[in-house]
Amino acid sequence: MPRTQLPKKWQTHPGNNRFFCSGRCMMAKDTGIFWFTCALIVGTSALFFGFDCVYLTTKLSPAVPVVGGMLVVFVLGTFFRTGCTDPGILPRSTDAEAAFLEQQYEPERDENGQVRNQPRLQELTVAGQSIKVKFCYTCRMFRPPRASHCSVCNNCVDRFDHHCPWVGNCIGVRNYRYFYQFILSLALLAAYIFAFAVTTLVLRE
Amino acid sequence: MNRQSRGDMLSLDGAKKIFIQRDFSSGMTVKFQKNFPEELRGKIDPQLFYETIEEINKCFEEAERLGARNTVESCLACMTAYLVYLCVDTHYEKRVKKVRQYIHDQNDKIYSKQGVIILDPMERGLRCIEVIIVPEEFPPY
Repeated sequence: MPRTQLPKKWQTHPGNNRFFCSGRCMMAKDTGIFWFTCALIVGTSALFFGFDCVYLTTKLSPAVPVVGGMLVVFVLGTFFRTGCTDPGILPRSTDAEAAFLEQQYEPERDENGQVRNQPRLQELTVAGQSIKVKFCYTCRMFRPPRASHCSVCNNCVDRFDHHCPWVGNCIGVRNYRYFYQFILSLALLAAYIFAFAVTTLVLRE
Repeated sequence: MNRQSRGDMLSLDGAKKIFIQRDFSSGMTVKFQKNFPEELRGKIDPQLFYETIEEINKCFEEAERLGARNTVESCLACMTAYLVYLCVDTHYEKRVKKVRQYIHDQNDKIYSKQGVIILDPMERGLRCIEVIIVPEEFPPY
């Protein structure tokens, strides 16, 4: 009996993410601002290399475009890594797990025996401290500590920081490092381009 | 056929599923509770079960450990703008693959013979380890 090919997980992903390169890249639903950011970075750098660097290579040193080039490569590397990789999305629970949690749950009842309409909570003890975790009704699971549900992407993300539209993705446990380095290197690149643009203007006087 | 994902492939609607929860007693590090589920009594030796969970916990602890080798590897990768990770796995990814392989081997050697399948916790986002007890009517694994 021939076996049918099972669909890949990215093909049946229930969130609002879009997938590219056969599931190797995952981004948010709207990628317009991502490409705008990319164009800004590439455009400004291209103008810098095309105008200021041409003058400064001969006037100052060829190290100016070399270091600038390395910075741009690093910025773009971390940018694509942040925007196109999994931020740490928690897979939604299966029907079996949802049923298991449902069966375990005892709703709080008030004096009349009516069920209170309150968010479902679970008490956890993390390293001696008592924490209450919320139940996510979309993903049908109790969110681990520091996880949060992104309404844009419609996923629960572990160690959710925020959804960054400029990068076109959520920032969570798996891409936090790359996001932070993107921000740092971009600030450095901006300062670098600014410094040498001013230098060019001054030297050309 | 990828036997590792057999637990996903078979819908096993009639099967009993147990979820081993995370053990947060020592903080946020990835560790699973070692309580032996009652449904496995008689099928699996508790000692073997504890050893499996212990080995999984050890692997994840190794994955998250901040050692000299790990730090140097990350710094070198950073210098290549992380392009090297297009070809090579990160230290963490290697350990995750090791856990997957270990669970697959344990299923083959011990659990499947008793009609029990342990799923990789990464399938559930490291929230719990799913254990499926296959009912006797199913053909042997």
